[in-house]
Amino acid sequence: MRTILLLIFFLLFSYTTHAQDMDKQVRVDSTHEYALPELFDYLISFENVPLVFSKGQFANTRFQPLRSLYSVRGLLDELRAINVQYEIMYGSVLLRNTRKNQKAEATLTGFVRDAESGEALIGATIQRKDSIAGTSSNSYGFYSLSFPIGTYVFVASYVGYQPVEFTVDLQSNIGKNLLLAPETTELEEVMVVSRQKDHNVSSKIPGTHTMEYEEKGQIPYFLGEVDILQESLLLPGIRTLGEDASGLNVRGGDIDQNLILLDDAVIYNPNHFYGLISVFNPEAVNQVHVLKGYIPPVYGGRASSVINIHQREGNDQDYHLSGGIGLVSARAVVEGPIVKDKSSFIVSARQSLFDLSLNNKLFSGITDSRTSFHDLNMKVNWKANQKNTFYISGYSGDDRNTTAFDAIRRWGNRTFTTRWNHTWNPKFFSHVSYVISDYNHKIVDPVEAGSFIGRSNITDHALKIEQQYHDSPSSLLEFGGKMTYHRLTPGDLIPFDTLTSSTNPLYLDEEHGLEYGIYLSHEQDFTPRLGMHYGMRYSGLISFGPGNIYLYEEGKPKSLSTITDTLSFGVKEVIDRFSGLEPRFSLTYKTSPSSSIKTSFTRTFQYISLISNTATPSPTDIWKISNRYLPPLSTSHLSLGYYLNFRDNNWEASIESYYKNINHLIDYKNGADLWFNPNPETELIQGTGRAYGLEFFLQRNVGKWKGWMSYSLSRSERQFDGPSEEETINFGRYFPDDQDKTHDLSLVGMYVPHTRLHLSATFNYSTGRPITFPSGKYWFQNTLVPDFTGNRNHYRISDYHRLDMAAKWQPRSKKPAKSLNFQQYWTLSIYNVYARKNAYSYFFRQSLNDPTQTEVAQYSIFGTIIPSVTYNFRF
Amino acid sequence: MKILKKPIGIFTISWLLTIACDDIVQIEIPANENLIVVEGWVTDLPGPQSITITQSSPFSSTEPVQTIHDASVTVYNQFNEAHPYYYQNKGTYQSLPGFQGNPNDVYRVEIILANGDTLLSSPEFLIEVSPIDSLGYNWYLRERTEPPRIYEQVYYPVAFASDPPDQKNYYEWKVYKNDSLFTGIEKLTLIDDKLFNGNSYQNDFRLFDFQKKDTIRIEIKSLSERAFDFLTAFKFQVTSLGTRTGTSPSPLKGNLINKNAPHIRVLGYFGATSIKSEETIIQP
Repeated sequence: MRTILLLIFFLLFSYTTHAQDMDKQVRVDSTHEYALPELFDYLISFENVPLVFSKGQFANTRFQPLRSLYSVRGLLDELRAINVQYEIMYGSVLLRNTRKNQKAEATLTGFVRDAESGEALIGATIQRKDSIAGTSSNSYGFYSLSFPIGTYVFVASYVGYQPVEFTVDLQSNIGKNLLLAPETTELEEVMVVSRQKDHNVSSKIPGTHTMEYEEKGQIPYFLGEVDILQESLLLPGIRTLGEDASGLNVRGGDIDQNLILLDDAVIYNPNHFYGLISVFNPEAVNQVHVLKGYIPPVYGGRASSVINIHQREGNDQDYHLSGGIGLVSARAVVEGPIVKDKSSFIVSARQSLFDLSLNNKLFSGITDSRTSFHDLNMKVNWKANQKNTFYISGYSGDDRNTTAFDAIRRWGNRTFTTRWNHTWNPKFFSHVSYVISDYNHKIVDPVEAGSFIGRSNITDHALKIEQQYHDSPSSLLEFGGKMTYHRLTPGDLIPFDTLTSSTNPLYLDEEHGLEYGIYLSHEQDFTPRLGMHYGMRYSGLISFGPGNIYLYEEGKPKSLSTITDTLSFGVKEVIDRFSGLEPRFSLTYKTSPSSSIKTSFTRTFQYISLISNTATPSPTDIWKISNRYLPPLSTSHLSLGYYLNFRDNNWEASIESYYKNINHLIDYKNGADLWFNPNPETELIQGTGRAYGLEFFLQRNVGKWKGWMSYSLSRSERQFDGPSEEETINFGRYFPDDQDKTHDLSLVGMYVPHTRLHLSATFNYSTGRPITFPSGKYWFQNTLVPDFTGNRNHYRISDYHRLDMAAKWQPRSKKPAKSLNFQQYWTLSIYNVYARKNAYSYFFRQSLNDPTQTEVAQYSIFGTIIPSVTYNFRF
Repeated sequence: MKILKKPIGIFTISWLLTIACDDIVQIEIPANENLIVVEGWVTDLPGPQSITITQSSPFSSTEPVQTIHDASVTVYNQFNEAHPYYYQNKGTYQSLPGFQGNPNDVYRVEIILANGDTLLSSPEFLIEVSPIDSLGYNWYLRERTEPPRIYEQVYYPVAFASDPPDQKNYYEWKVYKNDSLFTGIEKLTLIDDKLFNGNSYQNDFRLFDFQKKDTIRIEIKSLSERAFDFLTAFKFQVTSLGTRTGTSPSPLKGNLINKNAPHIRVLGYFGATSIKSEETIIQP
């Protein structure tokens, strides 16, 4: 593999070497003893000498120049003395080490944790002092560094924590856990942060954002509820259909194309209350990674993005109780050690305070509807020894909606994760997890005709194995796989009362599928300037019985009348198989210590889709695994970006362009009936999509003023050009997707005038989303009917803009409270400060004043200013 | 019996989430050519039967509905027996009084416009509908929205009917209060037998308010699958478009074509239906 890499590198980055290049004068530091890779990297990067070499061959060899000025040939000749041979090939200088026995290496490993709480610090930097050699801790806080035997000084650092400097006499493999203390004990701010100071530039995974949730309450949130999904909308390329729409659209993807993971468990519905609030209790969340560009091979199964949420592990030093209360919900968290330094727990709960009343216009047909929700998170960890850590975590949440006439709908997610982290040796780290994800909904409708109880369910059992091999500080090899058994119950319908109900029982066929994915990836710094993350994922789905597949007349649209036969499959009999290769790569080239260019390619397959034909999906919509009529959705995503940090990494900037191609998108025939439909394929049509755009991001990380600006200029389109009229939309031409917004701007500002007062504001502007205008009107049954001829999404609603503000006040603690280390703060949020009536949609209707005339009404969901107050505490 | 009231506790949040509003806006909507709109049913009730022919117009037009008064309208059954319709007024054409649809017959309409274009409907099977087994009523207590804010008894009809087995059936129900039909698209009540095929079933009309001594009359109408789909799409498009449960707008596909110019759409629907009714007076 290394040879292949070398060749690729060689072909990509070689350029012609002439005799005069070998005679070129280069400057080196004669007072410094170079490690040979360091010297070679320097010559490549700063003297433009076209060297090609393998770091591994020279890792243990050092060289101190005798003078500071050499010709290239003179320097290389001098290196012959320490067994370095060179050869000019195809315009580059190929270096080899002829020495047989290289100096031995030793490895430093351990975990990086918060000194106060014991929480793992993800992405902390451990670096040799005065050197570029270093690594970052993984998602469990684990790090591994290999160096030639010797004595070294290292620095461990993490944003918001005091750096730790330590000396290690590395004569053999050493384990060392690092505890970093927070820089300040005052309440930290919620903000998007870089994991390490120059992460924006040096990370080999472009299009990623990280959100920290150690403490809450800074940016303004709707009704004061801290919400990670709401916050992610302030990042470029992530948007939602409207103010209350459920789910996120990432770079033109549909809402079911986001892989939302809570401690490795898939969350099928990330929303409470139809999309107003996310299911993630902020008190329980440690960190959120949003991957919207390059998706590393370790992830698979969704086409557009990964939102990876890590729950907190709980404080393993002291017991704490924290919580808060706002207009919407009350929250509480208990955490503490089970065995100090060894094991801890965290339990958090949230309950809506009132039955929330829905506006009827939002949900056509629902009368006097009220909704409540609750959720519960827990996590336990046990650090058995330096090599083994065990975790158990879980989530359970429910929404409950009632209407005036006793109809009840309940829906919710449940997850259960067990995980074992094992360090085989200082370079080899394993992570094995078994995960259960469950999503179900139930409808109880006691009102005739046809009173019934309906229910549907998805249950996943997943086994995941991830291996990390830290070859050297500049090389990380990862491989592993995941196997998921999906069991979908699309719909069971049973009589509400078996004695009196007129409903016939109906059981739609269960779906069973085995989804698998194996992957191999490698992250390598070839030079200080050039790094690459690349790999491959091979994924597939096997669906099996029991079940039925309907066959349809060829050349005709699928409908009940064109069914020609039914194939029945027995238990475990294979129904369909799909598989595919998913190549991924990301190349980072540092144009200077503070800037880089990154390009990436990601191919993905998605084997399970949400079936929903409403403007925003309902919690009762079903999911369906791929079959011969619903092939796996696939995307190819290419990105190219420039990243720049300035003023000592206190400012970050990036501009990124992308193009995404989506195959096997689904849409729905006019008037599609998906409700308890045993043949949903008769209602689906297939097409393709494309999305492209430019995204800008500018962020200030430190100081009294912080914040960021994100802007995206983008286009998202789809095309349905089927073989028949009913399988064609917009005459087969591309048309803008529902969530297409040409311009999307977010400004976030945070100001700290006083240590106990934090002020913040956010401003959003976006182009109005596409809409279809009627081309005429007519009357039928004395009702005005707008006539739509098919030019879908040709127009746009008015532009959207909104200003929100928030203030957080931390009162001075009284003495008795201080002794308990009591902290508290109040947050005042004002949503829609200038009461803008932003359009959600237009109603084309009969005039309310003169029924013989028509009118266009702009419908606004939150057409006024909305203040809210929350109170939070911790001790 | 159920009491409908709002708990005090939900006041704050209710206010927050019912602040949605709609405002009339002026936007320029492009206009397409005017299209012919047909609306008519052959029923198994005594004639005359009627068909209305109008024209669509630009959405923002303030002109009255344009009617077609010079068309030749004929309804045929499966035996090609012709039943001519004659113009009355406001675009309405009527058959002779003796024309009455027969269950299990198939009907189609042919309309010849003044410009020579011929409009044809697809054949519609007149499916006999089962009679309503019985009609009753129930009531609940509801807090008045206007002073005095007391609880009042609200009555609603409860109908019992039987659905034939071994076939898919589609129904439209109509409710009359003291001989006055509940109108408005939200009162269009469509139901299929997906849940109760072949069973006796109960239909609670809770969205229709009655008081003591009111007369309830209920009609049940049979529909073809195509008519049911058309009316369902019609209701959905008018009531839910623009809401979060709305689908993407699309042309309502009826069952008529222009034989001479198939690319020109013909709007509306011509159907055949069987109607049965039942009546009762609320006398608690």
